[in-house]
Amino acid sequence: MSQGYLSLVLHAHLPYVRHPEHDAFFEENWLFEALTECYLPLIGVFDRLHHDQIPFRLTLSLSPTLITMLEDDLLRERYLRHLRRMLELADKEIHRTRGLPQLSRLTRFYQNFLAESLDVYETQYQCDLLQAFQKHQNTGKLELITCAATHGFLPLLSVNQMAVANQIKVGIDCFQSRFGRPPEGFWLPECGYYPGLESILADFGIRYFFVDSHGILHASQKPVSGVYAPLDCGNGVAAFGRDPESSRQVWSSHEGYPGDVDYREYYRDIGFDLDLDYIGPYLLEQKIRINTGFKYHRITGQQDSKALYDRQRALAKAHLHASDFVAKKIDQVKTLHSLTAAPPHIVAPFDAELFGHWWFEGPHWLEQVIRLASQMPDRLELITCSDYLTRHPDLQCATPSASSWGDRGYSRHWINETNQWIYPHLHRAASRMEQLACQYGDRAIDPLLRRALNQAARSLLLAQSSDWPFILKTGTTTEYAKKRITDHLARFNYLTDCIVQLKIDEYTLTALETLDKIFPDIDFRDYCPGHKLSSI
Amino acid sequence: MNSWLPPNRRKTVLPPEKLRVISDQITASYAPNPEIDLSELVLLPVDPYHLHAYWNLPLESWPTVQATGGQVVLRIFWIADEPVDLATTRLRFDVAIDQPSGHLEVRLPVDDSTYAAALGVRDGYHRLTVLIHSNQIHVPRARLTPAQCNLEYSKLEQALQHLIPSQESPTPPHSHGQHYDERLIDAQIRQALKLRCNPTEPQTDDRADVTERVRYDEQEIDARIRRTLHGKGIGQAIDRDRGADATLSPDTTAELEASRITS
Repeated sequence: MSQGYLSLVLHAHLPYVRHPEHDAFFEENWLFEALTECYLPLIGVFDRLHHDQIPFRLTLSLSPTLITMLEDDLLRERYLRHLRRMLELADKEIHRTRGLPQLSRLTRFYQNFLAESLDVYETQYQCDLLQAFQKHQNTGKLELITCAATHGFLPLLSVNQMAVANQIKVGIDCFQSRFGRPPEGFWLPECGYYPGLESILADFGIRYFFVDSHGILHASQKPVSGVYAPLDCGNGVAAFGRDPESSRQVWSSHEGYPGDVDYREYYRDIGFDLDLDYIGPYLLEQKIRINTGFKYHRITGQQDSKALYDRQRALAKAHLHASDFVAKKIDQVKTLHSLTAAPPHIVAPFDAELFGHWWFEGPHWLEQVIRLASQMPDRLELITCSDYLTRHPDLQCATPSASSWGDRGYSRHWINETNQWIYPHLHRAASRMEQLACQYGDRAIDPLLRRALNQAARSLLLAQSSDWPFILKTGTTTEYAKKRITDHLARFNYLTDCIVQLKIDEYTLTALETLDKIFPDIDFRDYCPGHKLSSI
Repeated sequence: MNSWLPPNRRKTVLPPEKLRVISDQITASYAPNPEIDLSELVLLPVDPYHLHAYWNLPLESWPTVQATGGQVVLRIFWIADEPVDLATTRLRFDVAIDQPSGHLEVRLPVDDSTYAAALGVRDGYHRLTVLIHSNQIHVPRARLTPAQCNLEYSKLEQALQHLIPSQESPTPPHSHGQHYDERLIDAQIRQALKLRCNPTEPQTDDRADVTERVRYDEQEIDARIRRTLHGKGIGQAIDRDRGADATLSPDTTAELEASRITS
């Protein structure tokens, strides 16, 4: 038996951003950037590890909105268009930087990087990255799990229990319909937990979920192994706690690896650096400066003047940081081993988009961590949380404390002066949805009415996304976030008014189904508490 | 993704401009309206020491409410472990309300506790005519409980000390001018907190060691609760000669200066 376990957990999520009402839409770039810089590189990591027969175990949470976008024809087509456009820019950059050896090397690096992305996406996986993740799940190396339907922050939706139940149920259904089996684990959006949530998770067959460290440490009973063993919430559902040490090593803006001077600087991009006459065609409306993905500098230090990026040096640093991380995990389990009943279990969850998008060298670091850890399984074994529960079924019983992994550890980031106005509308809409579901749930109803009720449920779910209050708080694309909440609530209001008046315009309904084309299996009746939640 | 729409609807091709028009029209006509004809009062937990309240009274009813001459207040009740009669409990404080709808963040004296609220009109004798009741919420635990802390200090904790940063709210609530009947409250606090609440001052250093332990000692807890409450300006307006069911005099009562965000 190994001296200790390490579970690496990546949570991949983007809000549902898809705008068929526009020929191109800036915020769809969120997906395209994540595809190029994160998801495709991660698949590259898994493919190489598999090819080299490295026995790894890793958990990947795919949010239902991301699953939906990854298999959406419109977005696939637009991503290909985006990649080709970036390759065109790479050509221009190679021409522009000729005679500048260091810059020229970088532009050729980007050209190769983009060409390889296109090849893997279009040729190797036929634009279906879910197929790639599923392939690694089928080999037993990757455990796929999912989260709430639109990443609703459940503690603030819990005023209406059916709102929470449907966020969970619809998320699981979406996952199951794509991957053919239900997930064993569930990622609570923002690790937002409140006591009682485990009952709803149990109803849908979930075996485990994650909470932040203090969720375990402040549990109803003292956790005898700290965060280094899961708790049984009392109903057989296990709660795994985030290891604060691993978080600090990777997340901390001061001491975390991604802030190293040799890594690529995210905030220097030719979209902001070059003349509009030249870069304009690749910007928003030819003039609004945006990231292009061509970034030629390294973090360097606090000063404004940045040194040029050196890819080899950055990769060497990522290798060093991977060695440091693994050595520290081994030290950690060595310290903890004699003090915990079972071998200590270190759970290290991260946002997947950190790897590659924010931390360009992150996928390389991850690959090296896995390669190094796989060489010493007697000292540190990579396992998934399902593996842990199979090996150690007897857990301490206790209820975790309400918590999240957001700023200050609770709900403040999602309810404050910037976003509080959302909640009365969300709660009223959930209540109205419940009323309508109960009113029409037991009747044989007209197919058009059923469609309208199902579409109202989709609008409600989309309005509940935690991303919108998050953006309003961080102050980034606030106008867009506000518009999205308003649009979805307006669509919900329109549909429910039509339903109440029994005046449903099929053309408009079809337009709304086209605009918000998500969760095809949704059943509005699941919002009625008396209705036995349907399964697909 | 292959279209999941039924075949008859797949034929309906809606051009982008048409979709845009429909979307804009619906948003223009059906965007959520902040003014609604509905009475509601909802509490949401924010963190161990804060709750968020929002309320709405129909606009047309507001003049009638104001005409009563009383003060419109949000009365926050601390629901201790045992069932509490909201009509008589003194584990409560009031926050003045001056608008028919709004949001408020309220600081709370005790973590890991259940709270409820009522919005109503308070008369000169501190009686509340309730207009709306809220839901109940439970705010999270901020630290280990004495029952947990009283366990023998383990090697694991020592080993973990340098690993575990506290996620709790870094500062305690500073409630000024709250009115409590201290004797009555003391008795209830003792009962309610007996096995649940660490009476030490909340850590001001957010990297403080959450494994800090204090042995459970009821007398010491009692004394520290008194010191803590006094330190926060709680319990200053107490009429010690009154009986347990006496009504607090309005002129010895100050409104809680809750941190109002917006109205």
